[in-house]
Amino acid sequence: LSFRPVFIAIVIGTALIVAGYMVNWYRPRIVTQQPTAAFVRASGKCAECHSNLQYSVVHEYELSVHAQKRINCLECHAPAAGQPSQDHHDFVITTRW
Amino acid sequence: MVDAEDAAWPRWVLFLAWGGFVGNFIFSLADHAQNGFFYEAEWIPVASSAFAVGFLLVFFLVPVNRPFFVACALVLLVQAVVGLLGFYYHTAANLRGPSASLFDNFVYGAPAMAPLLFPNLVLLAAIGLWVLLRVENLNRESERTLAKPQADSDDNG
Repeated sequence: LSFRPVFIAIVIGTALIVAGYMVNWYRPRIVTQQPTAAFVRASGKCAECHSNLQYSVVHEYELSVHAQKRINCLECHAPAAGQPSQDHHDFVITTRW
Repeated sequence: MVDAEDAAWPRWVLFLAWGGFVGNFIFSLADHAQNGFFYEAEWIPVASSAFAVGFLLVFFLVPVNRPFFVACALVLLVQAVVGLLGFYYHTAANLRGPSASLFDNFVYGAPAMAPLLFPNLVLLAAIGLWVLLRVENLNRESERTLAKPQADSDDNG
């Protein structure tokens, strides 16, 4: 009974997992360490759509103090208690800010 | 055209399944990275598809024995379970999604059908494994029957 094929398979599998983990590990902490999954998603998803629809908004954010202080889109646009809200592509945002 | 009775046919099927699992690995890694792997369970499809990639790749690297077929079948069985678990998690997440509209939750939320690619590919790989095992058994039997008369004639001579 040869364990060589199983050993090779496990080495390849483990190498892929470690590679995936390393890619995620080197992402900025401000992106990955957020209070909710929606906040994590907001970092990329908001810019992904709005850079096509309203590039000026994204560019303005990139130049802003908010970006320097790493403030997430949703931190301002999420509805506070009592604020009116609306559904927006799997996010809930306020209609007033 | 590849002959269905030839070992090349199941190897091509396994190669296609392997390509599918490479895709599953990349997509589950990239899609769950959007969430920053907020829930630790999001690593499950990444890890399981990585092992599926490893086990299926071995068929093209070194000669395999019968126990490896069994090990590979078990790894594939795990993939099917992971796929069904993913379908449940994605559907459950969409059912309690942030949007008031259930339709919006399913359209913009976690892709409910995507994890079912795992069991789909398991079926493809299982076909490849089964046929390859059958072809290898047939080859072994024919080698044995070819070797036997020669051994008999050697005894007589």
